[in-house]
Amino acid sequence: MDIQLQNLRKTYGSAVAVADMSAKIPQGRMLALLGPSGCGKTTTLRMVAGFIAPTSGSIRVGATDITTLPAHKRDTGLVFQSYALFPHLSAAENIAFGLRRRGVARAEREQRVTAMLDKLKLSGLADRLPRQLSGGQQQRVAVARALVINPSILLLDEPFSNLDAKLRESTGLEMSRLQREFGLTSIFVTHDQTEAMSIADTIAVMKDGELQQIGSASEIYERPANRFVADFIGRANFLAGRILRREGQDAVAELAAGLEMRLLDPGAAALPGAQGEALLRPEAIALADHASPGSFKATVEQISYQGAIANLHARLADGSAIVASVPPEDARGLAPGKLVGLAPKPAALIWFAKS
Amino acid sequence: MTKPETKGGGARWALFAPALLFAPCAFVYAVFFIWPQASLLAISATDAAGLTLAHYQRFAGDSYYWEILGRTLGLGAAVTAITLVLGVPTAYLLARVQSRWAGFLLLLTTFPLLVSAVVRSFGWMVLFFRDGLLSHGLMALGFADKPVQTMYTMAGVIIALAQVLLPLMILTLHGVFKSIDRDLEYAAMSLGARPIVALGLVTLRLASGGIVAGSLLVFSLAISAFATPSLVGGARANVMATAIYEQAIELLDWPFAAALATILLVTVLALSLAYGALLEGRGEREAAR
Ligand SMILES: Nc1ncnc2c1ncn2[C@@H]1O[C@H](COP(=O)(O)OP(=O)(O)OP(=O)(O)O)[C@@H](O)[C@H]1O
Ligand SMILES: [Mg+2]
Repeated sequence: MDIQLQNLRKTYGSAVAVADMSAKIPQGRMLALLGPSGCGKTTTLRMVAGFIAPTSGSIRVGATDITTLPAHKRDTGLVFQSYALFPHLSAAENIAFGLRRRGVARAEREQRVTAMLDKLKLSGLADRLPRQLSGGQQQRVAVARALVINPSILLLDEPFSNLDAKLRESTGLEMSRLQREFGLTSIFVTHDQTEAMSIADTIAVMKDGELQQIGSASEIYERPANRFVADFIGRANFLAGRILRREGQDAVAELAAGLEMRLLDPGAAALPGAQGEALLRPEAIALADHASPGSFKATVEQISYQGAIANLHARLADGSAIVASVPPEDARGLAPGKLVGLAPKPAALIWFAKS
Repeated sequence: MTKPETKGGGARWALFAPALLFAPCAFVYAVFFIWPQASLLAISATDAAGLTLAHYQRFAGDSYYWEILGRTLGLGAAVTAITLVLGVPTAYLLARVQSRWAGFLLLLTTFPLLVSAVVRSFGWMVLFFRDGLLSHGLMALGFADKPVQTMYTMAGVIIALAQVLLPLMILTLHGVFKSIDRDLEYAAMSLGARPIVALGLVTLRLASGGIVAGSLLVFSLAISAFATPSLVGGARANVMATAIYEQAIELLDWPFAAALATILLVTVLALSLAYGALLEGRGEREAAR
């Protein structure tokens, strides 16, 4: 069933934890709530789960308004950041807990628990207590416990944050495979943008309780709604500048003290004389000769080799820092102190007016 | 570079350090607890002629003392039950409430601990006397048609002692509930358990060890309490502690007083061990499942 959040708001006294959150998650899709610590992700998720009563706004699942429905009637599967496994119950009993509450008969219960243990590769661990399991195993028990009840909504609160980087990626992909297999509509909380981009269909970026932008990973990365989103998702260079003139839909701006650059469709507010910043992603920069036209003249400060790419840290004529991600073979032969040209790829600049 | 000898010395030191740290406490414990208790045991089992069980036989043969022991254990059970019924919900709410007043409220509930049991028992005496507040209140509300005497009754002792020991129960349970992650309750609810069921299956289940510990603490303190029973209960509510006092201080029968003290001590120890075994056994069963 699809989930619809409408102007969801939660305040604690005068502090606003979540302000006017609206989002729609179609049946079987996954929404990632992404944002820095304290931006209201957990609060939003817990309002959907029914643990926190919203100050105003509504939550609908399918055609039903569940805003005031108590948590135990909501039919949600929830995976907590700390897993919240019952410490006095074995892995199998933890998984069976929800089935017992639903009065599922013993034979069917055992069969479903076993199937779930198999699916999550926990077969040999059924009788272990949570404290006798590793972090990754506990995490899988928590996922199994949430999935076995066939919930109509799956909620995940930073479920992978306690896992190491490698396990995190594989578990994340496994999770999204299961979510698609079960056709679950789900909300996934994370502050890790790579994780959000790799497993969610839609990403909602939040800041200080406010929704900044909602869209697919590529929309958010390629057309960020504001400077915060551009900065939070991926790496970003911001070049201060001023609009010189309009040319139809486009505009020409002077960036980083000197270079004239064409901005594609910068919006109606970008009138001549307006101050602002242009976003330039590190991977949208090509190395050029330092004298070539249409490129920034920069002094190399540091080269960090990353394997697939090399990050070139350099300084522009006006003193601002810039990072360019280039193929490692292009960076060969460069050394700190050397003068290079950095050429933005076509249509790579995105204009943000000064607010 | 460290030489092997130095390393060996370090290891030996690491072995002895805990023993050394433990020594002062063990010394005080031995001199001021074990030794006096042992002497007590010795006094209770000797007379002019040497070893004897006479004092214990006197206890066993006299129904008056059995009654006192029974009354003492009954007092302990009643006080434990009352403090549990009042303490569990209070401690739970204090542990779960999000308000900034929670700390202050907890301080308030433990405030009576700062006042001596004698003073608090005097407070109850004021309420319990035939023409005290309680008697007047009950008559005014129509629950009684003539003055009620709560003073010098077992009921009075139970009420007063429960009040004296309630803060200890709340403090113990508060710590227990605070240590149980609230998300466990939420997890149970999201799996379909009604809040009350989640509370029973998860929170109270996980708190059971702490609840037993708190009950044991209150029970032991209740059956060895002296000030409250002697002030509020007087002669009609004779319990083990007051009987020991009577034998030792008024009748100067030290050996018999020592025998009574030993019986009280053994009762408390036996109960503690039984509870401990109960908890341990359950823990093992769980791990094996
Ligand atoms: N019970 C509460 N009382 C007062 N303020 C609260 C309460 N719970 C949360 N807040 C505030 O609401 C805001 C959002 O909190 P929330 O837990 O939703 O953040 P989050 O996005 O999940 O952060 P994190 O990534 O650190 O988990 C924070 O500023 C927090 O301080
Ligand atoms: Mg959070």
